[in-house]
Amino acid sequence: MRPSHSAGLAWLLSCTALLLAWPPSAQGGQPPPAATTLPVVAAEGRQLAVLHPAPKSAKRSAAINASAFESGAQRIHVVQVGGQTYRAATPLDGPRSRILFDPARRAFASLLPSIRLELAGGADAEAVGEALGATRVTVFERLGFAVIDLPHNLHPADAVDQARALPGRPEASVRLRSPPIEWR
Amino acid sequence: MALASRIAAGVAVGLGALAGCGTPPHKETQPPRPAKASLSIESAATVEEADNPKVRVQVALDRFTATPVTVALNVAGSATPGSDYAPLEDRVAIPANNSFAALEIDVYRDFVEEGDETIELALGAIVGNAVLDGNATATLTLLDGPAAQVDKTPQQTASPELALLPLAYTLTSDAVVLVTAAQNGRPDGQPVPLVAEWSTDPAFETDVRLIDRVEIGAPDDPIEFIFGGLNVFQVPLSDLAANEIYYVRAYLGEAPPPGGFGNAAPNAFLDGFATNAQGGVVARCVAPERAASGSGDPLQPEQWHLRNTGQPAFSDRGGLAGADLRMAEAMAAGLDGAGVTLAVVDTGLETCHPDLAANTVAGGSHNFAHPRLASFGAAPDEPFHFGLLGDHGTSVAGIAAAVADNGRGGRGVAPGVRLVGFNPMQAGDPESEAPGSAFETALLRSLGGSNAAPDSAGVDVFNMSFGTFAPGMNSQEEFVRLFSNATAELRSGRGALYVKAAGNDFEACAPRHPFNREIGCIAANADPDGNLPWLINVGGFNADDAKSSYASAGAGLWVVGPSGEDGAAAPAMITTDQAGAHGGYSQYVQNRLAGGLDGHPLNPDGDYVSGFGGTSSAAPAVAGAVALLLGVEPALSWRDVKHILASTARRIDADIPAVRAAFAGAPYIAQHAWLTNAAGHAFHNWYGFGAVDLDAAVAMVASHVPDSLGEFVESAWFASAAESPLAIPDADGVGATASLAVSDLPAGANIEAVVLELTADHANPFDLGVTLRSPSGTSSVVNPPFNTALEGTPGLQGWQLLSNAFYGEPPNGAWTLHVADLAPGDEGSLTGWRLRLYYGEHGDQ
Repeated sequence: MRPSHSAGLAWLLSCTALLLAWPPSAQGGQPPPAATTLPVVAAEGRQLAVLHPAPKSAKRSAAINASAFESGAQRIHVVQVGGQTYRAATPLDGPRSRILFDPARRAFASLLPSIRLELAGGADAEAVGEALGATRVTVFERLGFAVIDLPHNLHPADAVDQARALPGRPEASVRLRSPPIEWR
Repeated sequence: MALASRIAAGVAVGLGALAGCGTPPHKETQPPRPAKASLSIESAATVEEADNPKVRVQVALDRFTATPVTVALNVAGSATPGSDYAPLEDRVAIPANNSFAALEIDVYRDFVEEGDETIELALGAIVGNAVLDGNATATLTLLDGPAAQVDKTPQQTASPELALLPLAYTLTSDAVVLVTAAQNGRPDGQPVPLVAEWSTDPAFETDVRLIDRVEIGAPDDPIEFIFGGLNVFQVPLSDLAANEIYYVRAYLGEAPPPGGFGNAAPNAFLDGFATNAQGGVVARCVAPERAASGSGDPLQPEQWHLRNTGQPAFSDRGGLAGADLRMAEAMAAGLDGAGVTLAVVDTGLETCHPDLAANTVAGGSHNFAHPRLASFGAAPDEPFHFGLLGDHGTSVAGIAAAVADNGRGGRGVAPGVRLVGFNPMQAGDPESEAPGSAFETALLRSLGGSNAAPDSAGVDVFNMSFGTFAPGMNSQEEFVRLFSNATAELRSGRGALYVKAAGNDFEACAPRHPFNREIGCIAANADPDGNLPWLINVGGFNADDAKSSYASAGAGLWVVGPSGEDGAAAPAMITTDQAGAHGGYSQYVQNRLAGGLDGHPLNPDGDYVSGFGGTSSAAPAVAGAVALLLGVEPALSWRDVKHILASTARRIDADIPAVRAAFAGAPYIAQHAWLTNAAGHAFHNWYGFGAVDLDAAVAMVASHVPDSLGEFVESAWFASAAESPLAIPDADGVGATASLAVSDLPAGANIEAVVLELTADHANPFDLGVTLRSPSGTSSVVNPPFNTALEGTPGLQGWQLLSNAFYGEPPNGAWTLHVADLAPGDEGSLTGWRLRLYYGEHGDQ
């Protein structure tokens, strides 16, 4: 459901603002304060910022302002970058609440509730899936990867970190949701 | 020379000429009489600037001269050379032993209001044995064309209506579920009702039951992206009666769309479902009872795409005889694709359809909705579409694979093919907030990534009558790997073939600039998978042998297939429909082949439709053609097939002119006419290499050695060493030009595809036209200007664009990129580009 415009500031049940620096600051070799960072994940050759609700780990920071507030059954994300403001609405939780922002393309993206595990290093997809509590593991042997469907409460960015910490340090990445199919 | 002397000389020449009549020549050589030079405009002296005319002007002598003559040409008038027309040379040379020379005035369209203008020509000084006669001047009048500004009004403001996007219409264990999302916001802030209802009355005049009514509000601030915010409507199964037909609809607004449901009502949804004797929703194919079959195909005479005789195909008029797949010889020879497996990856496949069942492979299809719907009796190998009002996949399948000579309906292009169907959209749980979350995985499994349930790796030809809209984005890595691998490894290393619809968005905009009417609205490159070199991207042509009005265009097209028009004013495609008069597209009033008691006698059971179209129908026609070729020669590789299609395609609409105009005085070509590249392949962005000519392709198979195109090689990226960024002049056809060198590829290499990766820092890439020129001099517009798909896109970040226009050319040498900004108000620069070439070594003929 989308918020009613008449609800006004009463929507602001909670609000979180994050001030960030992008790309990672090299000034004096000082990492940005952890409390002011957005996590970044790589997907489809791009670096994307993970918006609230964020996973536990945080790696980088960005020259963007990102805030989020709840409005009824939605979370409204507001990202400011390059003098422009971008807004997105998500459910409060669940798979569709997990979105990213691509600073280069100035666009939001949605995460699938799964990760891709590379098989090239000899990774055991079933073992990784078991470690993550996967609901399903689909192995594409010829294509060199497996798709691991995640439990409802596991953020894909966290799952990637967890997978990479497993023995053998298998390579994994988040998956972006495709645009809707149109029959032509 | 003094005047008196010139007169004297002229008199002497004249007398000499007279004296020469009937008398022997003098021994003394007299200077030949000067020829008289005149000037004329060959066509009308008044032309329309908007026509982009090229006007021929002739400088003529009244006789041949033994020596060359050069005449000065003085150009004046109110038109500006270089801005209103191509600058002219200041002299005209007439060779020896000739009597004239022609020049061409290339008049530019410019969309600028400047009044009628003139080009005044006058012959001047002459070098050679000629003099001016009385016709030494000419005036060409240029009638001013319409002025045009680029409309950059945000479309959301121009069209404030919310859009209703149906995301899923499916079954769960206890309900029929419709999931929708409302897109965009309303600037006026007023809430809009979204109403969902169900009824046993297809007109919803009686027995209307409300599912839910919700208010779609607008936020205080505009929301650009909505994730979630889904509206889920459910019809409880416990409320259903046995042996009934129900309809479900949803619409935005206080009332249903006045024009009815369908393409004209994007903010509305209508479908239906049937129940069985137990009151459950029919979820698997039940073979309908039909009269005994016979021979022949009663609808085939109207299937213009197989053999166009000018038949109307149930529309108001017929087309052009011969505007078809040119497969008369193949049909006569009984070529039918036997032994080839073709997969329809789509909404579903009615495996028990009377005209498809005999070709469907037992157990070969896959239903991704199973086991979720096992309790309904759904079968794992029946991708049955429970919705009643049209199954896209079933109609697509009929074009490629309907059975021939069974006394029913029409026939497919490859009526002996082994048909399977997969319905990946039905994967996932529609009750969750993530409908379709499993879709990506299911699609990988449907397109060759799976060896069992489904065995898509055993498929020879995949039909993909679908696409996505993601302008500026690249295909996802998983699918890049899939297509790369499947073309290398499937079919025992010969490679699976992927035939994909290019899209229907040529007219999908209120034109932002007059160019949009000529080069289209949304280019085919807005679909990321359309920029992959492994697919056969298919556009559409109609029964008049021209582009289907809606068919998307682009440099990534390979060929075009028949797709027709709307089926009412002009022929569309005749194909299979969901069986039964109570369902399918044949129920729509627009369909002239409506089934049922009051329907057409050639469709008494409602199993066929005459109004199917879109490039969704062109793709299976080409997929069927591909299957037929593989049936003739199974050893053909995927590249062999593409090569044969490209080499034998028909050049239709041969006289289509280039689309060009001057911007800030600089001429710019937004779409080329047919160009023949250095390897002899003709290419046009509307048609790729042309319309599939199946008989010619079959003939070429006979002489083509399978797998003779050499190793397929993907080059490394070649990047420009030039400094960046490179400023792109605003609203100026002169554009920014950069080049890079491709070197060290094998001398015998032949290009099979070129991918340009482009990065531009620009406030609105909608302004940008992008043209790539090969070392051989072939130009290809890889992104047309005013591509409405790019409106509001903040820059281009590594966008990969495919061009097939260079097929067969040698890759080494200087490649040139031209990026022009043709609209004022937004500026930017080219910040990076590189090329990747796909090639073989086969001495392309």
